[in-house]
Amino acid sequence: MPNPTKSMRVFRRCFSVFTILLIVGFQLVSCKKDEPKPEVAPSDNLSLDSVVATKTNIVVWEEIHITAFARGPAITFKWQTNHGSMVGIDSSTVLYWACPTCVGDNIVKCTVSNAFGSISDTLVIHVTP
Amino acid sequence: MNHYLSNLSMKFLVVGIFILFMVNEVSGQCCAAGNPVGGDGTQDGVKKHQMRVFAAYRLSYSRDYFNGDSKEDVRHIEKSFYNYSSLSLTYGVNWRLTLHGEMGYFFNKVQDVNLSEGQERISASGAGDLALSGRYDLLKKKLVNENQLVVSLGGRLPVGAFSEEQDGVVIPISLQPSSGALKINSGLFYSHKKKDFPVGWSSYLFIEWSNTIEKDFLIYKYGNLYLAEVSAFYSKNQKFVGVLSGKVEVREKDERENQQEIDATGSWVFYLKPQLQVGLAKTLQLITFAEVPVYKYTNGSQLTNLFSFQVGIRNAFSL
Repeated sequence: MPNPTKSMRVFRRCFSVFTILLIVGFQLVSCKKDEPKPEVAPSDNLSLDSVVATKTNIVVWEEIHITAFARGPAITFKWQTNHGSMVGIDSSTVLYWACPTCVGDNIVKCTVSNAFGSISDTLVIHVTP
Repeated sequence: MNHYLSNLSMKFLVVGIFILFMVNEVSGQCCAAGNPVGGDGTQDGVKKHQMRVFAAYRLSYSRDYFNGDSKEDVRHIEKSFYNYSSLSLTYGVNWRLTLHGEMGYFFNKVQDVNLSEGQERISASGAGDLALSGRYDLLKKKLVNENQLVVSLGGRLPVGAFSEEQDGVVIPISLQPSSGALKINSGLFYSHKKKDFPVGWSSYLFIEWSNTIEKDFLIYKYGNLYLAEVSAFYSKNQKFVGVLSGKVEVREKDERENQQEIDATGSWVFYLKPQLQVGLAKTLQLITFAEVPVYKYTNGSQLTNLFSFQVGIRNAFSL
């Protein structure tokens, strides 16, 4: 069988390098993250007065609303939970529910932030089967 | 010369067959469509200094809730699915040792949930995990057959997207493109095929362990995963290969904080996998398969996979 030509070998090596770079590119894209804003003490510029749920003891698939009461200019809200699901209702309220894998005491965390920093608060939702 | 070409073609054919055997899917725990395992999941060795490139697209669709082996008449989650692409490189360091790496990207990973206020769609996209493995062929090359006995050791690095948000809400981990956990896996692959004989078979065992995710207040550990697969194939004119596989997937229960087992996780599923490979050119193959669960048993109530489908293109060349 004839050996590949030099140009063909070069092409193949370039193709290999390209695919490797593509994979590395995936990594770089996936590693790009927003810097979190520093936690600050409550002030007139930013405060999170309370995070309130309509119920804190629920059964699987039961839906509740959780609302964050915050003050300050141009506030953004970020919601996290270790178990359960949420969707945004409006800028300060989410709908929370839990599927069967989420039985137990689950933490819901709300972070409010603006140009002056960020403040977080949590509450616990107890989910039973 | 013809004899050499025939042997070369046969080697490509056998390598291709092995690829078909090894594409794996892991069912989601509870509420989402799960994740692919190690991309194309190939476990075979390749020739010394040979590079193999494989690009694939996969659709996975989950819909029905099961409790035990009974289908439940509930529709809290209407459906969950993902569209995923992957690119893998496999390189033969020498005649025995092969290195494999793969990266994937989720175009979307979706859950449609029925809520009292209507149906909501939760969706994420982004890079998945990076899979790396090394494989070692334990058998000497023989003239009368193309048998391989390959032991593998690898892992999946959680380098992908794991903090995806929707409207200011971080979406559940089951819908994040990355699993978020470092996983170590090992496999044992055996194939049997005589040269110039159109029928062969293979078997494959695989186990994967996951470390515990500890991110902010999330503490989570995926249950161990066990796969066993047996396949038979038929090839015609070295350009067409049909494969039928049976696969058992067992997954242990997940754990949350304080090593507390989560009851509604863990399952075992038996899949049938019809597969097809068509030679497009000398070293270029179109590879496609469907994976259909025919028996499912879940611990508690869980959303289960309905089917998955993959199509891919593979090329191999010497460096």
